[in-house]
Amino acid sequence: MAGIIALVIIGLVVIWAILAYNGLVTLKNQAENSWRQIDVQLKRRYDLIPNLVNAVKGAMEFERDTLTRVMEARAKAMGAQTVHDKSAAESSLTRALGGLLAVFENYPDLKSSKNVLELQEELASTENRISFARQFYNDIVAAFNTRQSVFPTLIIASLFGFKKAEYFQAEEAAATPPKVDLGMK
Amino acid sequence: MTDIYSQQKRNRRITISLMLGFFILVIGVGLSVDVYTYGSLDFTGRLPVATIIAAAFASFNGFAAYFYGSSMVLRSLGAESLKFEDPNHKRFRNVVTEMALASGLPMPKVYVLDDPAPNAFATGRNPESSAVVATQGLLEAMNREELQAVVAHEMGHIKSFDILTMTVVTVLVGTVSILSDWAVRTWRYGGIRPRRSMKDRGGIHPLILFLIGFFVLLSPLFSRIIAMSVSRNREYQADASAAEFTRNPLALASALKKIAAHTSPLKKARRATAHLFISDPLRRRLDDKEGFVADVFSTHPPIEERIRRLEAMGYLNNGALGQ
Repeated sequence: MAGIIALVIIGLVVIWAILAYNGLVTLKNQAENSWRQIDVQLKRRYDLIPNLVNAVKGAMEFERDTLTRVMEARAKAMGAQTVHDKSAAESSLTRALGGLLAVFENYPDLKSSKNVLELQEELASTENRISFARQFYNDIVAAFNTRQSVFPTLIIASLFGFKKAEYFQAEEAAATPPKVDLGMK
Repeated sequence: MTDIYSQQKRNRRITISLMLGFFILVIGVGLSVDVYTYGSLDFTGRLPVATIIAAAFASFNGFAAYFYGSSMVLRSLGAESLKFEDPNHKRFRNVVTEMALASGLPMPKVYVLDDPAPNAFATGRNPESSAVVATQGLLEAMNREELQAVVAHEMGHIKSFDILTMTVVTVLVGTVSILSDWAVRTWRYGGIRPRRSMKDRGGIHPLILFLIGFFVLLSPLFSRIIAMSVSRNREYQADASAAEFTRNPLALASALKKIAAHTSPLKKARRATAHLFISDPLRRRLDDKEGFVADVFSTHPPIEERIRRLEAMGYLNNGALGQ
């Protein structure tokens, strides 16, 4: 009788361990997938920036500094490898772009150009996509990290060498996504 | 607030019971016809033809509702694909992409209804086959954040599998409503008087009378079936999901205010499709009431109450950030 009870208990523990392990793997995969989503959007932004810079270069003769800053920030962000470096480089790129879009206001010609307006919409959307993809990624990372640090899943996590995932930090307040709307409807 | 997984489970359960209920209803009608023609339940040596036809019809309809429900809904409402010359359409597509990322769902198909009344809905059997539809009026009236909020509300319906239930309800109840509309019309315009050939063969007239009577009785019930299976609670839940995806409940509140200010109904919306939309496209008065009757018969909660809840969420957010 005692043998049967022991077997049942061992069986339950094994089932629990499998479920806990699978839960962790699912979260890890989700985190990796959503990181790839951010990556796709960051690449999209790298591709858009030269187009925007070329479209405005002629009209913004006097803002050479601002344009160079954007291109430099872009190059740096493209070179970043780890999540940590990437977070830092991307936020300085976001800031540089914010600066560029702010001086736009001084050039009425630019604001009425269809091409520039379209690029602005694409860039505004890309900024939003990055911040929403980051929000989703960070939510998954939070769930993944919490799961690893609470008892009893903690045991499985350390047994199989799960590592905490890194948050993709947004500079300044994480709650307010960068505004590059420029009053466009 | 129930979490998203229990919402998904509930929607699968409701969809299965709806399918079963529809199946039993239709087969029951077929069986009654057979019992009537043969005079007993004993079919030995005879084929229960009407039952077989009814079963085939019910299976076909259930199959169509599940697999082709969303295309039927899109076609009957006249949804069109986007035209990228229109900057509003481009912005709409961009906003849907953004909200797909925020909700972690695959990118839905995107369509537009050419109607000035601002409204939106989502349909499909699962997130992979989903579609988000907005009226031209919505795209023109909303600013970027409001449009985001409305699309996020629709992504909430997609994530919770509300779209499955709502689409299946539309097709199944739509079928019954076509039958009952036909029955009511036949009843009114005297079509039930037997034609000579039928009278000569005898016995068929009361049978048709029975069928027509059945569907006439079903007709008033049908609005109620929709309202009951598509509880008003869903709209509150989708509003909450929208707030979660955008982290901006006040944008949805201001979108709903703009939608409520527009009073003309949506031209192509019908009773069978009304429950799909973010705000009742038929502008029925019952929606604005609270209480048991409204809960049982109405498909949408009062818009003022939704706005109030969203604004409460918004103040809560701002308070938390201010500290």
